[in-house]
Amino acid sequence: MNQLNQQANEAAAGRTTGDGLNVEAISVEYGHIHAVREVSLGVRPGEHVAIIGPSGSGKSSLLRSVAGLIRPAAGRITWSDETRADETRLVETWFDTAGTRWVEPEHRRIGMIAQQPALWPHLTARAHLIRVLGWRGVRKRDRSGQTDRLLELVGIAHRATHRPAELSGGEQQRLALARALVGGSRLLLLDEPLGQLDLVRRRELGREMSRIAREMGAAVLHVTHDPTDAMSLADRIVVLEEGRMTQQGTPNEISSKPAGAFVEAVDRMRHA
Amino acid sequence: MSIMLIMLIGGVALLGLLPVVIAMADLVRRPGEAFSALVDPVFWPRLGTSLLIVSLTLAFMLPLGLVMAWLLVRTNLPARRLGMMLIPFPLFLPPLVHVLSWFGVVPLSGIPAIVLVYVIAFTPFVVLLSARSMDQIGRAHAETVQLMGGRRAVLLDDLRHALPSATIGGVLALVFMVGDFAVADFLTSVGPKVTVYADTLYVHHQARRPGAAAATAVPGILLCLIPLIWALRRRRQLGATVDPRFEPAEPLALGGIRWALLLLIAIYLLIGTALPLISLSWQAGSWTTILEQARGASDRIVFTVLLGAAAATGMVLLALPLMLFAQRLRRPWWLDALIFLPLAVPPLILGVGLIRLWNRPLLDAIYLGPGVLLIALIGRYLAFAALPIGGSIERLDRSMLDAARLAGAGSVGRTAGITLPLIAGTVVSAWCISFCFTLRELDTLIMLRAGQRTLPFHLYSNVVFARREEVAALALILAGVTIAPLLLYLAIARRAIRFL
Repeated sequence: MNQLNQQANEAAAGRTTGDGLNVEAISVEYGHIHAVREVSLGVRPGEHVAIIGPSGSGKSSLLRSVAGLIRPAAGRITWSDETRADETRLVETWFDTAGTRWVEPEHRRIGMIAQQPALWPHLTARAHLIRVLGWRGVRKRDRSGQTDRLLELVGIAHRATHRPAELSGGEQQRLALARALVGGSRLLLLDEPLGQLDLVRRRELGREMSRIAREMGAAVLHVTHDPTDAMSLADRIVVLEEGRMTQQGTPNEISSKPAGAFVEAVDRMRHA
Repeated sequence: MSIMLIMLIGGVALLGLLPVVIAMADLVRRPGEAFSALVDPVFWPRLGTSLLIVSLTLAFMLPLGLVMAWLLVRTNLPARRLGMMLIPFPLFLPPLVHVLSWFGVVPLSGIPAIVLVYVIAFTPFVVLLSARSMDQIGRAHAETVQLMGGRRAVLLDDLRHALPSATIGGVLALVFMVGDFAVADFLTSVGPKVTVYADTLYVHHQARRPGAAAATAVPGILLCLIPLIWALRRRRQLGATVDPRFEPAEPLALGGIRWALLLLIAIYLLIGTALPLISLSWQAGSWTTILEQARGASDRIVFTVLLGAAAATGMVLLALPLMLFAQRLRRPWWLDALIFLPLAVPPLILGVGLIRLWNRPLLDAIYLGPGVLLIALIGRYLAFAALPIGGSIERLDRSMLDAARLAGAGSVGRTAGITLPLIAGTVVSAWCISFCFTLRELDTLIMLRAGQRTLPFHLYSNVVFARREEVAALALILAGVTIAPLLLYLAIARRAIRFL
């Protein structure tokens, strides 16, 4: 384990009183391939953390293991609710290294948006949200109001009765955002969600996604291979290379003291 | 493996595998009889005759089916959508109906006539399965191939895509040809007799030599099952997940020749569907004859339709959860083998096994009633519901199900809210296919006492004894009842049935 991971682990371990997502020494393996090696990080509610790195660095594997779509080989993933006035709070363990604890993705109350929005072609925009609220156990009489508010918030209320095939690329991503946040998602996972949009819309929608998630108090873990996206949107950046964390810090720290081959290469390109 | 999956597999085994195992146990119980059947000098030439018929049929059927599928899916052939909708009709007319309609008016006999009937009846297997593969060729892929190698490369690439599916179609046809003796029997009743492989089984059964019947069934089972499993696996290796953003390849422009090529499809449909129905109507003579026969056989018609509907519903209800669970196991080869085994086994062997299994004093209610027929039909034809449903589930975009999972949907919620609505068209299609196949089934039901109440049995027994116009009227009724749900599906869904 390199020194940075060691420090991050200690930080994560020391933050047991901290709120939000805590990932501790997570490793992901596909047979003999080590996709992620003992990576640790934390994301607080309302915070936007970006993971950057070259293709094949293990970014998506890390994200999918947080989502519960793949089972890590080792480590610990927990979610801590905000500390209440009486100093008590709930810590949920989603996965631990002994493998004795595993929470299925449907019980983690998180949302995820990938490059392909994976919308359901047979449902209208409105029906998408109503369906999710049903699955999340929201009472029938409350579903309609929540749906309308969220469609309004993401700016596609006028497209509520349209199916995904009738929406533009940007509108589809807005619907995916609404679906990911509806029903009280506390963590939003973004896996290159803006990759298919043009540069202008990408910046616009990226900022808007970040704003809406903050407004709703959700923590955001955002995977991207584009450092410019990360610099402009994130509060903190984590750099992954060959499955290992090589640097983490605020955008300013990363750009002022680039460490590791990837960030250095990006920095050279920015200044070329 | 979940308890539910074990129960489902157990159910499939009880319906299809157990009767086959019971019948094939005669190989062990009567080894001497089995050995003498295999060294019988008449057995191998008969198998050779069947192989010759099968080879000739496939030699015509595969190119014809591939060309028609390519024209209907990948080109700008006029009325190709309608053509695709009409292509399955010859398949759903029972071969005996083809025989009665054509060879009552055209003097053809011998092996060429048998091959002709099989080519007409079974080519849709190849067309439908190849078309489904060609449907999945994406625009970006097709354009890249065209840029790299031109039209010739596109043709070869299309062929590469469709060949495994066409092979499955060919093997399904082979399964029906190997187990069939009625077509050869009828077509060579005048002139030199052509005795085929299935006749040997029937003769051993009639002579009460079950060990010999089981032994002679083995080459047929291997001949059908091994290529079928191979083709299914090969096709799945080439299969692609269809995501909602999938854009089909642009149809290739055929130019002025497209009208001439349309003629090929039109001639096939004319020979395979229109002319048989016209010929039967002409042979029946008048509406009075048809109505009289319908009145006389009304009990059998109602019984057969209800039996077919119940069997098709049973097949879909069994195939749906089975394929949903199978997907979690990545659909292992042995599950395909289990589902396809009863189809690959000669119907006579399945019939013998069913009699041994269910003909017991305590089970009279099942054996003497429609229960055993339902079991026979579901066991034998489950593959025709499982194949399209399993294919649809495999092609579902995983990310849509992952999104539902993250949104809080458990396995029931994902199935009911996402999977089922997205594969609903295929499920209805599978029901229609299953229904049509149960209504053309004769070879297994003929072995069971309750099967004598069905319309195909009534037609078969009347071929010898009844007048020609009466037989033609009955064949016309059977054809009408068989293709009615298919017509209804096409009228409502306005798209071709999905076979894979």
